[in-house]
Amino acid sequence: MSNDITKGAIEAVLLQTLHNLGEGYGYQILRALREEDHEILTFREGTLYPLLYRLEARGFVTSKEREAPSGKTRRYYHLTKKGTSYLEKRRSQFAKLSKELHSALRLSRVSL
Amino acid sequence: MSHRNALEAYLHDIRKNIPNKRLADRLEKELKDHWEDETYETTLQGDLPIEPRNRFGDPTLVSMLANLSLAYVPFPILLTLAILFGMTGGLLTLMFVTGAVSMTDLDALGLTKMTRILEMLLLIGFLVGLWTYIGTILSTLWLHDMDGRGRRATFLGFLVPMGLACLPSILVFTSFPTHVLSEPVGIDAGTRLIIFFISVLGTVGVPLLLTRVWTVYGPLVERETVDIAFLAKRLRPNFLQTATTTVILLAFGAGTWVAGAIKSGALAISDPNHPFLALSQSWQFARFVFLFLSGLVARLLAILGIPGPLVFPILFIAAASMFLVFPTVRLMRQRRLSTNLVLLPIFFLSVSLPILLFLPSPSLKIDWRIPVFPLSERLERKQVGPLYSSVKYFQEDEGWYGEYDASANANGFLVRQNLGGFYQIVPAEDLSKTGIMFQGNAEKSNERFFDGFLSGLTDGVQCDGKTVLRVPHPDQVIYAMDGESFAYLPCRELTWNGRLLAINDSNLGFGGLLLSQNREHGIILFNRGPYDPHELFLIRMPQENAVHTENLRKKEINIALPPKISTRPEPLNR
Repeated sequence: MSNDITKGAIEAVLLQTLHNLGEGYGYQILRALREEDHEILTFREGTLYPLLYRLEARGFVTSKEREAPSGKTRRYYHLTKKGTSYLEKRRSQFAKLSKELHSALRLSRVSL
Repeated sequence: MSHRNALEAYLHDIRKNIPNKRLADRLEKELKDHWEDETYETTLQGDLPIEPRNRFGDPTLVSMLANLSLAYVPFPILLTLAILFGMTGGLLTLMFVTGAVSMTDLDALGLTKMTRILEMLLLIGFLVGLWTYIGTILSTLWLHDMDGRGRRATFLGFLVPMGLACLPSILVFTSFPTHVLSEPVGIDAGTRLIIFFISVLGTVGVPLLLTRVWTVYGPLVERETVDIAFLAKRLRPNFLQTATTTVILLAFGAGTWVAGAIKSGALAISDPNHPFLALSQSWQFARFVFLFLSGLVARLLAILGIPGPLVFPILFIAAASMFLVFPTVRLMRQRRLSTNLVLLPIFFLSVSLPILLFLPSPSLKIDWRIPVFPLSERLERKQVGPLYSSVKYFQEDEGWYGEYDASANANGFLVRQNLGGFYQIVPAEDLSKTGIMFQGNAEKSNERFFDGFLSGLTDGVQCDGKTVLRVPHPDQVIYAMDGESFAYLPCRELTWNGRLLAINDSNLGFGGLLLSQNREHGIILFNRGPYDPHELFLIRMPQENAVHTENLRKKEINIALPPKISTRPEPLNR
């Protein structure tokens, strides 16, 4: 899979995870990603944060520091309206891509 | 190496590649928290923690990705902002250097000037607000851009390119007529340039430093990155903004100078003996054409009492600021410009702008009780030609083509039109016919013509019954009554030899009144002196045996004409 598609996919999955979580801090988000077991989305854990910062700069995600139940101050991320509509757009794009790829590959197989 | 030490070393490697301290702090804290959570969970499962480098990835890569999350700002944006910043700063500097707001010579200031000072201070408030605003945005974008590229933002690194970007504005301001920059405060050209450069270059750095200090030590700005990214995206030149701004600037610039050149040619043809005079006058004429083109904005500025030479840079800034308007308004509407970007500038603007716009501008209301002739208007009509009516409309009732003073001798008057450095010598007889007989260069006139003319003859002039005397002053002619500056004493009735010249219906004084009289021909030239010298009136006086004013009704005044002048005066003293 090309870098562009992977990058777009990582962003979309991250936004979807945040959407599912409602909100979450970095490690919490990573654990949710692990639980969903996305094999294609393997990345070093340190790069999660720059990715979140980038999404935040684009207005898809917002963050705020506050005290966690453990008493520790954590930065919580959650999806914005803009992020939600972007996620929906990406979803439909990937669904269309998936459908067309599936169709194209099956046609290819037949032609072979 | 323990895992703790390994983590510290890893974070150190990350920090050293992130110039933005706030970003580095944030990433470090989140990575630390992440590490602690991970270690806790791994320990619970009975496993050994993984080395930070293996878990988080190459620190150079992580820090580079973090840097890239900051806004990337194209160079044209920075250049545009720098030029705007330089123009605004240059304008402020110009106002100070010209002494437009000098309050040090209070002795010489009339009430009219005092009100002008108030307006100028408010204008400065506005400009400072705009300047702070542009400077803050410029600095913030530049800092983010440098941080995003992973480069260290040094003060010198900012000053040099920004100073160069300010060069166009420096050229604009240094091209102003010499007298605008030097005359009011007498600063020599070298000092003026030094002040200018220090002001522009020095002040370029102030918003930068303040912005950096704020971003490092100020309260956390949650949405700052979002705002910056938005601004950087919106400020990227697009076709509409670029086209609009370019058309406006070209219209102002080209229209002004082309018209000036045409006028120069016309003057050269009409006065073949002095073709270069006309050419060198083109700047002044260009200023008038510019006012014509600038329409309602210029009219507004003129009503506010902003001096003509300042109109050009103000409008230039206004036109070029269109790059900033759209994104800023949108950000403000969304309440996203939260902290350091505009709070301070908005404060300045919200205070100064309404006052600037709605402050009434008091002015003298002189009711002439004798036949007067607006000589400055006549002179300017002759010089500016058919465009005069347009110019006049935008300038209300003021003659702005020059500043006038007048001196007299037995044969005539020396009328100096200072703006542009020209003068007219007008024999009294010809003056009574309102003709302009001679034009020349002021520098030559010092040698050839100025001798023999006495400035400010005031024999027989009274104000509300008190004699007006000329008193010494280092740089201009000041008149006084009872030892006090004439300007501070609101004067209602101005008389000459018991004859009522004018009634002043306002509560303002006449300012630095300047009078020159030629008793032989019964003519007085009148203007308001050094601080409001744009109007020059010719007053034709009846001879001494004329009926005194107190016995005249208004309808009788019009028939009190000056005596017929039957002999041509002697040649001027050369």
